[in-house]
Amino acid sequence: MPIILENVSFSYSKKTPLETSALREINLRIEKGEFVGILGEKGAGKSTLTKLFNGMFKPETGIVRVDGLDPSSREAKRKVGMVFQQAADQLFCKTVYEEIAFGPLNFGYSKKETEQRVYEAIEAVSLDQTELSRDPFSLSGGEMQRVALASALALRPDYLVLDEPITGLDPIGKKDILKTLNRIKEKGTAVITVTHNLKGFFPLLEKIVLLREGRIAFQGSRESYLKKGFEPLPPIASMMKELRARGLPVNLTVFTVEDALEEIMRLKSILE
Amino acid sequence: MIRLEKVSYSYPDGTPALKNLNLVIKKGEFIGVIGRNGSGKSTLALQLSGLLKPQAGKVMIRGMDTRDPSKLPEIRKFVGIVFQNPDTQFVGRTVEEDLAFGPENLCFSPMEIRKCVDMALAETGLEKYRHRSPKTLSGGQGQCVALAGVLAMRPECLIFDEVTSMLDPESGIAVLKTIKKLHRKGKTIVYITHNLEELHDADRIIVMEKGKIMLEGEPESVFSDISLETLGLDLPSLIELAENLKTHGVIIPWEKTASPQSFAEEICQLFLKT
Amino acid sequence: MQEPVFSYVPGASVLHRLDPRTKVTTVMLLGILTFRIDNFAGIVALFAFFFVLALLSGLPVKVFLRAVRPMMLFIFFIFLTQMFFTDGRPFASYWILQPSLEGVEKGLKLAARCILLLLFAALLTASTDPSAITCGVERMVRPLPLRWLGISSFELATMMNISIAFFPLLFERVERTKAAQTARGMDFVKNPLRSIPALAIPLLRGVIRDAEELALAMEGRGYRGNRRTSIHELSMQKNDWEALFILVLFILFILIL
Repeated sequence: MPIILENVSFSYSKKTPLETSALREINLRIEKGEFVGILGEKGAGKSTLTKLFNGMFKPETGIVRVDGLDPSSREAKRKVGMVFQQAADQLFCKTVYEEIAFGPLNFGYSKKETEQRVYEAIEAVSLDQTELSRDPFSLSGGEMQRVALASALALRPDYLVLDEPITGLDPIGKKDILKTLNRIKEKGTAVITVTHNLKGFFPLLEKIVLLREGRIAFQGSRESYLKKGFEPLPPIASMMKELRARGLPVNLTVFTVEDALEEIMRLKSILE
Repeated sequence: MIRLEKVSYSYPDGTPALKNLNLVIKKGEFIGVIGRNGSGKSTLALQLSGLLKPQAGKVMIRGMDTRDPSKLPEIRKFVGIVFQNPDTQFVGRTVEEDLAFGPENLCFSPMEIRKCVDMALAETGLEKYRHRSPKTLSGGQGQCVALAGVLAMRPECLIFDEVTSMLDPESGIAVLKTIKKLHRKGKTIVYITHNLEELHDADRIIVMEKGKIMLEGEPESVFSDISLETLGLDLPSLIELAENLKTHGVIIPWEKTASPQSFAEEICQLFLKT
Repeated sequence: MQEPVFSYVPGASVLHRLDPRTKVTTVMLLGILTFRIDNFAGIVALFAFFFVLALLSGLPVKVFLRAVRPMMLFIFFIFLTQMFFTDGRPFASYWILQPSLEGVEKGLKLAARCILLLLFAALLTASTDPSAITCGVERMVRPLPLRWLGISSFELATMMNISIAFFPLLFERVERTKAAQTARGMDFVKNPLRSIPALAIPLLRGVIRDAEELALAMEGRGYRGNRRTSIHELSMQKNDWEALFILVLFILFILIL
């Protein structure tokens, strides 16, 4: 069962002079186990879209269903884990353990069940068990972000929704989180992320949803996104697009340094 | 212009942030500072602006010692600093009022203050937002207001501490463009970032690690230094590609690696010249 | 979003152009007067004076009414307590409550005074840029020996400005924290004991960090808590002296009334 949005529209400050339309006629389907990137410029409606997934916002028209459930129901809320921008800001417990146990205890799971979930969650984000007794605020930025991830994972969500999860982290912290997210996805949880960081995320994305002024400009596989020449693009893909624009017969689906090297050498041998 | 001599600084909890640091910043330079979180970059920024005083060694800003409290107003006029989060840098309810804050502190007359504010608005292209609340502006515009607020004090040297890290890429590029324009007009710039891509045309790059300068030099030589990776820094993809191509005998000059456009242009010229 | 009460409405009327010090003084004097006079004629005269000023400001009356509306319930409550708890000739009797004629009179006067006070305050804030008000207040309290309290008039003014600037930031933080913790299953109604620290601690940490960042940014821009100037030119014009003269005449008139 997927997350389904059918003909969804949403506006801010409804029925006031300040009413602004944020999303228009969104049709979207996200399957379990997918890695989805929500791209678009600032103000395109990306964050608003994620808030529809867990019932924080109610659509003005159209319907949102999480595995057939109303997203504001408690069961649906458990299925959709949310990690907001600068999630490390929301930590508050004295130990990492309590921090991760907060979610499961809120949902009324037993102490034993909660413990099991905490261990499972820290394994998923590759934190060591010895870290459990540490003060979360003594951790590095990347580690804090992993604790925030683990606290969402402890609810065993089927869909993990993230808003700019690597913004503000240093390169090592970024790589940590990317690796972790990929592993979460491998285990069957859908990872849905809003991001500007294409260089980091592009290799992981299977599906891309591009928003433009509140509407879906593109949705589909990474390959077709690249082939159709949509933007934004990671630097290498952008360069390939430039080469094609200059009439060179390059493969537009190339976006990594290794593939680009191969592609350019192939080009060289054809042209010379 | 700014000189650090054997500067050391530890946080109140004892963690060392800077260790025996020496650095000279020349007039009109654009210096990029890069390093991981906790490498001492931000502490360096605060030292350079006289907001923190060294525990050992000294920081001389145009001949003025930052430990001398009587020199502080003069130092503030000379060096300005812009921080990461635009929201916590606003003090006024309108852009105009916010920009006036610095000159007001310098006890300028109302007429002089107006002049400073007008000049700063013009330099950052914010004239049309003069009477708006800075909080209603987008992140990129907000950061421009923060920059203008510092510019209104007419400093000769500007320090930027990760000013684009909370912005989306387009806004970040716009802010950096404004900064580069100021550099061309003769301001001395110290630009601290995580993002090596932003330092492509810096005059000099300093790589910090554990409170020390690990690497220093022109962008081209710093970017090609293999120790970058061990420092946990990410090389821009286009530069990585250029390095790889070089080993296969395709040489892309440094200036052409600045953007996908210039890179593609160069490849076309190389391959299509026959 | 509703327009905030007591907000500034830009304009170019006589009132807008007056020096903030003139306006602050006027409102203060009128405020005192409102509570000194005890006859209905005086109150009516004050209302009339308000309408003249409102007319001069060139602003729609609803701007001022907006300041009164949220307080109406409170004012009505004041009226009721006065009516029921003032000794005098009862004109009716409900259970143990005996509204008296004297009470009705007292209640009406008090309610009218509250409304007047709000109206005059709204007149000040609607016709004066808030930072000009702080600037004016700063100038007026500068001769006072505030140093004994450990602050300067400059600090006072900056504090007034900053705290207003800081509120939206705080609300934004509250919203963000609430959203994030709700997503982690927090249910405030069901379990407030678990929820309070989950909201309060991130909030407090955030606010402290914001404050530290702000303090650093202010210091970097040369703020030292001592003498500073202002972009607003304050100078008493002929208009201001005329206005104060009219005010004195009006006060005398009311007192004689």
